[in-house]
Amino acid sequence: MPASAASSDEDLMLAYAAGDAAAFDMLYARHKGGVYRYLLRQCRQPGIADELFQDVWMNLVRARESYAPTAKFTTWLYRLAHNRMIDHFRASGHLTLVSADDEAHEEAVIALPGARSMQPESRAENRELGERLRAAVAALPPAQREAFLLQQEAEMSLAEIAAVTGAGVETVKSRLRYALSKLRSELADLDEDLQEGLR
Amino acid sequence: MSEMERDSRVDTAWKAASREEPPVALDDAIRAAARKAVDTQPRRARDKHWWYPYAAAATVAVIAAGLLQVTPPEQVTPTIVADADRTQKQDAPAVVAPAPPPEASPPTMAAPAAPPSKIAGPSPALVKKESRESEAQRAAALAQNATQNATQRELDATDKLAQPTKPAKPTKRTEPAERTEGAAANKPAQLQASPAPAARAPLAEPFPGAPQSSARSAPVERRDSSTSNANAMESAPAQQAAAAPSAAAARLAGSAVGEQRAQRQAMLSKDEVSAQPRAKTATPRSVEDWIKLIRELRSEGRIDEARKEIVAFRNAYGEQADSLLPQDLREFAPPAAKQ
Repeated sequence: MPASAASSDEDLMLAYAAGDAAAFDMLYARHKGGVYRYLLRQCRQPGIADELFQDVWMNLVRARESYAPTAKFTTWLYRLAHNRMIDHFRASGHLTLVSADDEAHEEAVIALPGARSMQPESRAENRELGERLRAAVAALPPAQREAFLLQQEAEMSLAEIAAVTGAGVETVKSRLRYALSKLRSELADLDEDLQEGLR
Repeated sequence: MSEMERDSRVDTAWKAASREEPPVALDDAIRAAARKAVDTQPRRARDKHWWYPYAAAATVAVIAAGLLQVTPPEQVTPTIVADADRTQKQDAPAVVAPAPPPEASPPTMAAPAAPPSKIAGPSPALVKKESRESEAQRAAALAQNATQNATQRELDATDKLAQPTKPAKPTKRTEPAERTEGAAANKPAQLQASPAPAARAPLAEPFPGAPQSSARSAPVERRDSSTSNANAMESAPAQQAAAAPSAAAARLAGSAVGEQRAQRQAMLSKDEVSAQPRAKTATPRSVEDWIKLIRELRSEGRIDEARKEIVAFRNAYGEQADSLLPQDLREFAPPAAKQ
């Protein structure tokens, strides 16, 4: 069956494994941004992110014949990326993906402010918001940051994040709570700063 | 996913803040690599087994080398030397031996001589020359020699029965030409000096004008040792005809020696005969003729010779000798005088 834009990721991957190069182009177009940003936010260096990104896709190419659609394609793809990133951290000597503060700050997380609807802002405010948000994500513990990135870039559910990272669903849920609480706090601080700036 | 794990404001802010894309050059490189992997997939699958023939050839070579290593060379060389010595010893009586009886047809006797030719065919110098190209043949010849020796030992018990029926002088004479190369140098002279044994005719006929050494050794060298046993067994009927006196004697003696044993006995008779002095056994004699000869000697007053013939008769037929001898001859030379 020829690959088309309406085909699922799994069908595209199977088509590519059968020799359809166009299927790979469609798959790559769908997921290249998310995978790249996932890696870039983790390693924080574009050069290394490029290298890891290429390795992930080459691993996919090499593993195409052994691919079996037993799970979502994105789960498999991001697991490749996760493993490659782990290898990179091991090689570089700072593997700190395990978050130790999940349970310790649960009470503080519950007390954090909830979600707020975002109002239209000025261009400068958006740029400021983006920079501070990226900095806040970069400051997250690695496990929380990875869970947040998988949620945002790959649009994954808790179970899928758990499958990629190898953690339990509850653990992933806890990590996301911590991450979101810190990011909300950052956004709250930004709002206060903006309001003070308007005065 | 509950509200605690998802925040629309954070989602929107993040989507606005995170828009990095991989470099275009990296995109092109990855797409090209992916396309190349798919395009070259059939050829790679086809080329994946290119090394199979080489692996098979290497495996065969290793097995052959291992088999050659298993057989120590010192076991092969002594066998060749021993056979050469034995053949040289056989040559002397063979040359002076009388012509074979008419029933020992020459073509049938030449066939069984082929197997031993591979055992000790080449001389030591030629062994070195051919050692690289015929190691496997020598190993097969060694195994064959062992088998032949075992058979020979097995038939030792029936040697007495086989002795009077060993008109295998022609076989013995043709054997050195094919068995030893050490004797090959002496061979032509012996063949020329010998009184034209009928058994040598098949070898001499194809190369009448050729030099003796090359003409007689060439067919020997071309023979395959692997077919030696097969030739021996295929030529068994012919040898059976040659060994007819032996089989007839066995039947007359009432022994339980079967036809197959007689065939094997005929195959090995040349070795058995060559290992023993046999001035009298060279001339086959039936029981009736022997008895008639003894009676003639006795009637002529040659008592000692008659008794010697009876002793030889008893040696030849063993336990059955007394049952074959008439009453008067039995009493003429009682068994106590046999020794």
